[in-house]
Amino acid sequence: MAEYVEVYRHSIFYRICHWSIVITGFILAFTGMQMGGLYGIRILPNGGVLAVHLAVGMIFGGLWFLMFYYIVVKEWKWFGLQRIPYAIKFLIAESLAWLGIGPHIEDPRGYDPEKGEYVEKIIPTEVMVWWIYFALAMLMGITGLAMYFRAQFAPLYSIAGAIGQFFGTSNGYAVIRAVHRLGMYLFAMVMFMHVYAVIIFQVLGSMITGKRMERVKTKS
Amino acid sequence: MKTVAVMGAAAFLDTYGVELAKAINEVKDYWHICWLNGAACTGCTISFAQSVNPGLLEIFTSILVGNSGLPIVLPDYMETLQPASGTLAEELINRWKKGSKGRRILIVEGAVPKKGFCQIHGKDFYEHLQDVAPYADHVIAFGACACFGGVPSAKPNPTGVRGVQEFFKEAGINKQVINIPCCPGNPDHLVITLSAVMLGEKIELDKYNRPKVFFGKLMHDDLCPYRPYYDRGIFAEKPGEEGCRYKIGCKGPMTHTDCALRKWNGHLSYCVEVGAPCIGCAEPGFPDNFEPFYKPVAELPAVLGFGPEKIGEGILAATAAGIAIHGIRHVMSKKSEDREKKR
Repeated sequence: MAEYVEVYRHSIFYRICHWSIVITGFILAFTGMQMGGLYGIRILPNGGVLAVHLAVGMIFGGLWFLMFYYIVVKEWKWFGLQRIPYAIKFLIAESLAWLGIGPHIEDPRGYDPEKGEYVEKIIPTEVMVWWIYFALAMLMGITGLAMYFRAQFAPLYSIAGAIGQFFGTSNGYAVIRAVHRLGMYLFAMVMFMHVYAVIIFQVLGSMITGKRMERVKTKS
Repeated sequence: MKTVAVMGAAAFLDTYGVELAKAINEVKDYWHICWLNGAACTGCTISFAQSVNPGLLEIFTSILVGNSGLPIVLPDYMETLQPASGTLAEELINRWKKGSKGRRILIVEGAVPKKGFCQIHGKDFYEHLQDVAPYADHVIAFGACACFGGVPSAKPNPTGVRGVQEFFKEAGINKQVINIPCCPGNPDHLVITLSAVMLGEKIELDKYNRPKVFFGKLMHDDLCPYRPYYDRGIFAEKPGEEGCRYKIGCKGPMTHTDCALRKWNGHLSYCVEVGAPCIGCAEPGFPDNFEPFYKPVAELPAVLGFGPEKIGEGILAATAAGIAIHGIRHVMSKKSEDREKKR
């Protein structure tokens, strides 16, 4: 039988950041859909939905900045860009296994109590998820700000207009707005996958309490 | 011109009409206008002629030069409104050419088609334009067609039309064109531009040669009276309903114009006010870049005919399906593992 040990996995700062991003993300999604006239959503029937979207967007951006800082300073070992090739290999191997044309890879997560450190803290694909989230947050932030501060983002409008010619329009604003809207769906897609992965890899509790029962492993 | 920008044309004319009349009166010489009509529907002429409260237009025609009995602004040649016709009418162009140097204004309505199209008096329109352009001291393109090609330039553009400025470049005519777009052109825009030209005022133009005082502001951000609806997320679902027109295809977020201040037919109304969406007629690339007219701005770029909304919904549906399939298989394999363990 595998041995398990309770480990303090996520700091309070990280958890607050995470859940704040979740809450502000939902507010942004719903106010954004209200502003775009999508699906009849109206969460602020009498209020300035644009003002809320902008203000919350700034907070959302700030939270991502904090989280990015935390990742760079504290978690770079697990979430660093150098781990992306390893994550891709893991994803390919698992996909093949799922299709029945290869062996499953054992869950690599483990904790070494003697050394008091993780052997592996995360499911490798989390690295990709984190960076995709980060890239999408940047994309949403830049396109959102560009729509509001047009003069300051004039060069982006020129680039967007040039790209737009391949998609039936040369208008930079239309392209930026379309990218912002598509970004919302991509964000939702990654979020769905993230939520699903959190459930099947049993890590939801640790993002609430900070603690998780980790398999005991030693570094080989 | 700065005051016009701040106040809007109607208020400006009401407040400063007398002062303007005095200033123009001091010019005391004829200004000659040649108005050419190219590939267009003549809606701009109608728009101009229908200005029921013409303000400056009235001033132009009521100030007489000396004892001549003639107004300070002479519309020497204007195909659609002049009483003369045939050869006599064509001779009027020569009168305009002989007008005082520095005081000959050429107004062009309509786009410029390629050779073989839009023949007037046995000559192609571009030839007429080529003929008069060297004499023009000031050139004003009035209406979307004259400025950027407008509706006649829509794909597939069978007559090869283009705007006056573009034609000038092709023909090697080195003249600056003041572009006053919109479909139709607005009489206030034209009359105020004319007065600025006559008074020697510097007209600041944007990168498309449009006067900044009229086309320097973004409809959606700066002027739209329905913007509060957008900010509150209240949308008209079909033309005529109350609410922001964004969902029914309003192109206000990408259109620089002051239509909401200016209005048409004697400052009575404009497209958005009567429940229709803005179709972007003040911008270059109209109409092709703004179609479909009744689809929201974000839906304009498309991949294989699908806008970002449809693509996004497809991605989400595929993700949900993938999660569902994976989830079912995950649960089933867990159960079989449990059964194995029990054995």
